[in-house]
Amino acid sequence: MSVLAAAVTDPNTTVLNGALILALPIAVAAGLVSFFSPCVLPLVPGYLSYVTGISGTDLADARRGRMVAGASLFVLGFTAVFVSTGALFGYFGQTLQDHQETLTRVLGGLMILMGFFFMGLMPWITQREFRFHKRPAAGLAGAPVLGALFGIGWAPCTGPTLGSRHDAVVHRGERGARGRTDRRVLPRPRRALRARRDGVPAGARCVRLGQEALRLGDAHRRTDDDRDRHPARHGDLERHHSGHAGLDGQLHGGDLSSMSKTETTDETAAAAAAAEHDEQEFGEAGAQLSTAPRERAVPGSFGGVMQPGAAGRIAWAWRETTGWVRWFWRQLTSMRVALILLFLLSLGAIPGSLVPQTGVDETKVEEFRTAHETLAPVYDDLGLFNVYSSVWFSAIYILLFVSLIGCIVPRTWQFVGQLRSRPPGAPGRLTRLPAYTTWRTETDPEQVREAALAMLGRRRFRSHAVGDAVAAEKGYLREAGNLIFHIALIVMLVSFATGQLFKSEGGKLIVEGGGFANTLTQYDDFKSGSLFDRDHDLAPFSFTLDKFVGTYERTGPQRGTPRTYEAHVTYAEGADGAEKKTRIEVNRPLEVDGSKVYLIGHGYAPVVTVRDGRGREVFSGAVPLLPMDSNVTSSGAIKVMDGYRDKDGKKDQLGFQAFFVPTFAGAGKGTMLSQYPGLDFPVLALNAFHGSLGVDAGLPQNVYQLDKRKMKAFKDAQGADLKQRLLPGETMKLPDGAGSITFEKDVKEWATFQISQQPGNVPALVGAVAAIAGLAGSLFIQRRRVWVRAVRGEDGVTVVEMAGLGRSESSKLPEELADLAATLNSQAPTAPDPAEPVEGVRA
Amino acid sequence: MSLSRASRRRSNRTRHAASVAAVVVAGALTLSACGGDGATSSGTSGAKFVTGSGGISTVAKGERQDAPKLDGETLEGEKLDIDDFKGKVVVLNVWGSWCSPCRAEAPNFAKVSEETKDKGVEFVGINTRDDSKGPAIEFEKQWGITYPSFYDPIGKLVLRFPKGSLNPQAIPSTIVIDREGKIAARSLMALNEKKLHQMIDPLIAEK
Repeated sequence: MSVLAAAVTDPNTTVLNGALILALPIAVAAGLVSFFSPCVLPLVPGYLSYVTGISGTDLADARRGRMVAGASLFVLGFTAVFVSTGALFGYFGQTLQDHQETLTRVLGGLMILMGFFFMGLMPWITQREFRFHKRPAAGLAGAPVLGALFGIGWAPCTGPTLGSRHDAVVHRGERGARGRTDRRVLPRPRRALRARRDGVPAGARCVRLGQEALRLGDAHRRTDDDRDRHPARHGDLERHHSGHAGLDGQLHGGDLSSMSKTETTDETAAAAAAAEHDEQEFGEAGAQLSTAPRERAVPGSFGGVMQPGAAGRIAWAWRETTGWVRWFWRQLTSMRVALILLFLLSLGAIPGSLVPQTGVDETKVEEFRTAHETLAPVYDDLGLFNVYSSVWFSAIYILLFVSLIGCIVPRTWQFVGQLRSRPPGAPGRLTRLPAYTTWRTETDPEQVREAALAMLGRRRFRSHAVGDAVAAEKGYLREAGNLIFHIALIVMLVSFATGQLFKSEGGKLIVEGGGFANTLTQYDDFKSGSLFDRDHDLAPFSFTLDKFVGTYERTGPQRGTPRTYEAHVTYAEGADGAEKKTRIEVNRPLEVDGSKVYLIGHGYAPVVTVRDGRGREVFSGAVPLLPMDSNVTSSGAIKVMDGYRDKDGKKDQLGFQAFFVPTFAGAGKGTMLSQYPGLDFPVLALNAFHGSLGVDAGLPQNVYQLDKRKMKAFKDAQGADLKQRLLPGETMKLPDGAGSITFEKDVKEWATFQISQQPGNVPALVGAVAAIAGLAGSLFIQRRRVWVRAVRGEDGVTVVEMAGLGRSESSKLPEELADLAATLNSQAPTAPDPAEPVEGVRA
Repeated sequence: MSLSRASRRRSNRTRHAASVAAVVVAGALTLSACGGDGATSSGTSGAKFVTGSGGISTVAKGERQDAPKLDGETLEGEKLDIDDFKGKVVVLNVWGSWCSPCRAEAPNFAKVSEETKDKGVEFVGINTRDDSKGPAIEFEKQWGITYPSFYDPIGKLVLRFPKGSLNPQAIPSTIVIDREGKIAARSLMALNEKKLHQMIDPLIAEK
């Protein structure tokens, strides 16, 4: 019964931890929800009709059996993908988690790379086509392949449940969602079992998705009857299908091929050749539709013919050198090289995250050096301990920058030039352009041109009359967007860079009642960029920690998970500013004068009192102890440096190793590990030592560790090391009247803060926003030209011709042209001539 | 057309040159940034203080900055204001009872403070990051420190040092203020008697 109750309260938990039999229907239900998510639903009709291999028109009279078969195979395809990833993640969950950071970095690099690659596919950059030329034949055989692709492609929107499922599979090693420190590696057979189990709900989910696909398939068929009444929408959908069929319908190469190609099945035939052909044919009209550079010279031909004599030789050498330099520059600034450099950069980051870095953790590097005596010198030579400042990494970085900027600057100037010049005049034969329409009117040609000019102006085309035609162009924002994107990218990189140079970052542990002033003397650890000025750059402010509030989940599988972490602080700007109260929470830092104070962690500081042999109090205060696990089992040291006298009145130093649990399991339970992070049953366990703490030598010492090299342990009556567990209020007596230590009835909490200052965040944010806006502009805006020619025909009737040319093939262009034509036609109505058809948009 | 195209190409080339220069600058900037690990970092977690860059910094007379107003309560609970020491050389020592280097230099300070008392030198401690006064007072007793110390657990007094002045940046830090109340010298590490004299003696000599 309790299982069911749990299922009701938290379905996710049940899927993760509950009985398998219960998990299955819940997974099915979750699949249903995911299926109707905005992420998936719009894709369904396209896939469905492709899967069944039936275009929209004959979907109406398709046999139901074929549709079912197609849909089932499709489902099988993506089921295979999901089940296998589920099993894979289940099996490698622990491994994946152990290398989480590395993976995150590598995948992050790949993500950036993919982003660039995607941009690289944009026609204005590479002029190349990456379309799948071989696609699975429409129909039943292609269905499972498409299903698998769907499964892979669907990964980013795996929906809430499957996402959390896979997440949980990765985290399963921890039983429930605890902190990350508590890692338990399961024995191998269980891992395998788990892998299998993970596969099953994934399968159930796929079945559900499939069922929905079938149901919708049916619905789809029924709604198709409406189609005839809405031919326009039909056409839209048709194009949609073919777009999906090509898998990257949006990514057609930079061809200027005619619209009709979209509909032909043989569309894959040498689009590039067509583009070249078209470009020649359109000549001036198609020129300068983009700023993408064209390849001209090739290596080996720069020098040309060498004239006899020294002068000729020098001239040849000069031409050869400049030729090579120019060639090299062109290569460097090409998108391809930029992509390669970016890829190398992400490759370089791999050793940066696998090999310990001196800048991050020097002690780890030292450990590595002692552990790998032969490998370490090699790594040293390769700069692998300092990847990000190594010569080779810097070289890649600089080259990438040169490449990016070298690409942008000339194109910007070109674009400015294009903005200043006017759209080219109409080509001779408008009929050859991808979108064309014509009609005859009795209005004068001059009036038609004037009307066209006015109309295009209203539609924010840049237009002017050239000869017998009006030339107009629109969509410059596409190019602008592209450039903005690139520039924003550089702004982002530069502002990140300056941020790195001028940043400072430090940590501070504060016990309740304590505080911090932003001076270097108060930091526990501090790191700054190389241009950070220690004398100038720290913002003056201070704050005190009044209270720390931490609450934790009491029951259920999430028991112990933090619910609130709040640091109540009083802060003051400047050295003696007015005091203000505020609250710092985990992801809500306090911002003062450009510095941010983040709440990072917390722990306990039991209050203890130490008395010496004469009963005099020599130490009294809260001792912060460092947590060791998610239940805040803590350890640390108590050092009594001055003032202690033993029973003979001799000077000595005392040291205690402290071990603290906020919630004790109970005596005889065999564990000293805390059971819960809250202060339910605090117990302090102590070992006592005396002798030299080693603090007078002048060497910095870790305040949380006891250096026992010159200390002797106190012994109990049996001669064993003295140790005792204390409840609040209890006292441990040191033997032979050496004094005592009392665990007072007070445990304070402490919090750690990170104080960081990073200039350049604002420009980075602006850059990021601009980059997105630019990208959107360059993706969604089409650069296109429209010409309107009006000439008086032989019979005295004006012939109006309208044609459009786009940078890339798009369904929008003919639609827009049709719209323009309709508007113009209302001002220059078609002359009555029943003998032949007069109007029509060819598409 | 061809003419205009040719001119455009030529101007392109000059722009190329300019862009190359710009790129090199930007590249150099980012290079050092990307090598953010080349950044200075000091202090290991748990050591409870930041090691200063070390050495004694001094400022020539005439270029010195005013010392901030430092007043407050001492460890013994008395009021103290260094303005009262106008006309004297003031040696400020930032310390904490928990700090090993402070313990190492404490005997030197006890000694030199006695030696220079008659020459118009006042020693003032700034005790910081001791959560309670107890250990700090025990520290003074232990090392025979007779001069007063401000009790400044969270460093608010240190915050009063103006930006760009020779401010305390580590524990221990020692700062010497000349007879005119201006900051004259700073050390960011533990000092022996000799170095302490090196810092103070020239200022005693100043009139």
